[in-house]
Amino acid sequence: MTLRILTDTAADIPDSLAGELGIGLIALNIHFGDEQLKDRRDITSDDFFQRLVSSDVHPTTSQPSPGEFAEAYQSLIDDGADEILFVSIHGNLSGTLDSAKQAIELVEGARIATVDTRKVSMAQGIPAIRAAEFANNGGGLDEAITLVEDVVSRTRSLVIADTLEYLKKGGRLTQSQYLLGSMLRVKPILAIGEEPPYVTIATRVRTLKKALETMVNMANEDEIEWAGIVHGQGLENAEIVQALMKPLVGEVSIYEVTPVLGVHLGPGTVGLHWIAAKN
Amino acid sequence: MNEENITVEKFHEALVLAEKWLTINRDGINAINVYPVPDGDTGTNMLLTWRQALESIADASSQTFGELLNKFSRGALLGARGNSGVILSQMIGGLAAALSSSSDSITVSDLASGLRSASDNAYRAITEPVEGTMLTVMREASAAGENSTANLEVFLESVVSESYDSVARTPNLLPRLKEAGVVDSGGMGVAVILEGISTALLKRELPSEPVVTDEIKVEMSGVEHEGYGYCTEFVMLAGVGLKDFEAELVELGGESILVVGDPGAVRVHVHLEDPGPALSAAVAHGETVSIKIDNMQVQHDDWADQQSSEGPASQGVIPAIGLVSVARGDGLISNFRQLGVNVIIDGGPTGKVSAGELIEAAKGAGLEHVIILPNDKDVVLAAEQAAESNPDSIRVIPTRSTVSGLAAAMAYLPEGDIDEICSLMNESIQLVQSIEISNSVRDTSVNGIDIRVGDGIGFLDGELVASDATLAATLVSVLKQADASQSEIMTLYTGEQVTPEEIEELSEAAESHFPSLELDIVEGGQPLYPFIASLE
Repeated sequence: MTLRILTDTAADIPDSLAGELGIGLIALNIHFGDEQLKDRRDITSDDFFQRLVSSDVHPTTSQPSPGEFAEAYQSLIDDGADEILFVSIHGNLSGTLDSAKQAIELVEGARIATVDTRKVSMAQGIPAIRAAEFANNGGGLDEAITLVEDVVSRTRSLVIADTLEYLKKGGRLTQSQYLLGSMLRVKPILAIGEEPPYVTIATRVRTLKKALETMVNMANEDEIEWAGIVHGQGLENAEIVQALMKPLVGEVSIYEVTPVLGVHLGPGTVGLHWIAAKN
Repeated sequence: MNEENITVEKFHEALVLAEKWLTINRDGINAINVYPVPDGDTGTNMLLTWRQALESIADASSQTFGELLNKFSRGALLGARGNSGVILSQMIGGLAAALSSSSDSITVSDLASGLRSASDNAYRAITEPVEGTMLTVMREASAAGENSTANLEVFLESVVSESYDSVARTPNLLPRLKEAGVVDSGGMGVAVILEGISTALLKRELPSEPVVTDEIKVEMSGVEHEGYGYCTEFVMLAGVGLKDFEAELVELGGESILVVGDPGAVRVHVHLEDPGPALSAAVAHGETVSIKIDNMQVQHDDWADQQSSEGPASQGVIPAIGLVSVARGDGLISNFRQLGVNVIIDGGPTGKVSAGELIEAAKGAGLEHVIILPNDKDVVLAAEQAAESNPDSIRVIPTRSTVSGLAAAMAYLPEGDIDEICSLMNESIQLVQSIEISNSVRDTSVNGIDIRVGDGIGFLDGELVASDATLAATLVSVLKQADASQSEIMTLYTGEQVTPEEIEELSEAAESHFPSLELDIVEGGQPLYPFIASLE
């Protein structure tokens, strides 16, 4: 039995790491009007953010088609996989999981399963990475699902966006949450949750510096097994978080937010994802 | 059964005309897209999916019906974009499956089964089908067609007319559409496609204007007003005139106002962005009872969330948490309101409020939990008494100054875990140093500091720590003792009596002594203290 892990680009796993671990990455789409770009494949992060702030058209995002999923499954099968696990972006924030499910009946030659992580970014990426490591050590599909579900149940995310406008425009933030977080002199910290309304204001503080500190303090209320920092055009802030985390949990890696998430978060975003240790 | 068969060529033309009609209506469909995610791209997604499908049959010469539709379906599946595109591709897949064995032409009843299969296949493909969407429109249109297969014209006309009727009914099935004052965008897309196909098959002309116009949108959005605010109801026992009070509510920006009954028992219903002033106005007239306040936005969101989750069972009960704050000064009150305070109590010139007044205000908020911000060290005790009288519903954050209250309000959230929110609010007041600057009214000596009448006096966290000839010099002295060079930002709230020159003088002094300290000046309008400031 050969198990391969597939996830989408919203998991923020760098191409190099995905290649190393044999993780398949399927790209979500970014649309500037009628122009369709494959996340990361057709546009680099730097180019994307430049365009995001200068373009008259606000971009939208969409899931890969079932046909693209069928191709992705087929390519893993051609590569020798007879089991495939798709580790999906939050099923309520994107339709990606629907496409993935519908494509299962379009291909033959492998047992294919999907897991809705109900997370985005590295909080979705880390279970996929753990599952790939497990698969590379000979692990099978059913145990991999259990592993992903366990990691997901202990993974949490906090995000600081420079502005809430992008989340609002993309329809990912409710009006009441937007009002709570968008007033003058307030820096909100956002949580991404499994239950509606999915993206919520976790707390509000006065300044960015305090927001970064508060985010680290909130994470460290858990005993941390693993942590990862992400940023979209916010490396300086990511490095501040890294420095704050170091005395508490040691070295934490910084990853870049993929453009398709950048559509909804905007430039200047920094996020912290962590796995709480098992009790 | 009639003999008006549809040829492969004719059907290909119909698919092309549907693209044209969808293109014309694309912007209108985008504009009414609120479900499942209001990102305004349903029209575009359906159109681009349809175009991809068309491209895959662009060079289709001499082939069977089955071949044409299989290619068309494969193209749609590969090119499906967005939720609506994926569902559309499943409809096309169902149509293709039903007609896969047809060769060079199909009958009306073949097409009827094809549309039925389109609907069935889409329902099968979706994990949790939701009614009031494009699924409903396709199902109802195909059902109407199956009952009218006398001839092609009757069949197509009933399919198209039922599809638009079904679209018009979508707000009744999906309340989120009703709230937004729109019909379902994906459903509208399906109706437009069916009309495009039908127009070609009946050899008619497309209408010159799009079916989805701005007019439709405006007409429908008139159903519900924008912004949700608070639905506020209460009964006034005071002898107040109905018309007079109604006028007061209008003044306060109330909508959907209803003031009925007799003086002495006046029942009031009003929608407001902020229920506080209306309650204060009522209480000012006399005793007010049966107060009920619903946050319509939260209701709306809860409802919307429920629609997109796995159902009511998965919904936790979210307690609504109110915030009551003591404050004086227009600017300060407005700041507290912006941060979410439901009820403001005017503490009078001294800022003192009794436990009884606090209990009344907490009840007036009409919510399960209420957090009180006393904003004065003496009122902290009264607030704690109020909480003791009602420990299940009243909590106190012991804010000893106005700026400490503002810091606590910053961390307040109207829903969530009350203990967690109180703990975040308590933490946030630890991060703020509170400064008050005033003038001495007599010669005195406090904490070993000699003060002459008229001098500036400065308080840090409630303690008198500095006095100097001017307010600016006093502030600088307080800032030094507060070790302000370690702080990020000072917010300076200006009092009701201060002049622009005084503000200028103070900010220049602060900036020259503490160049790295960011300065934010806010019109506070507070009495007594010319300046109060937070340092954080």
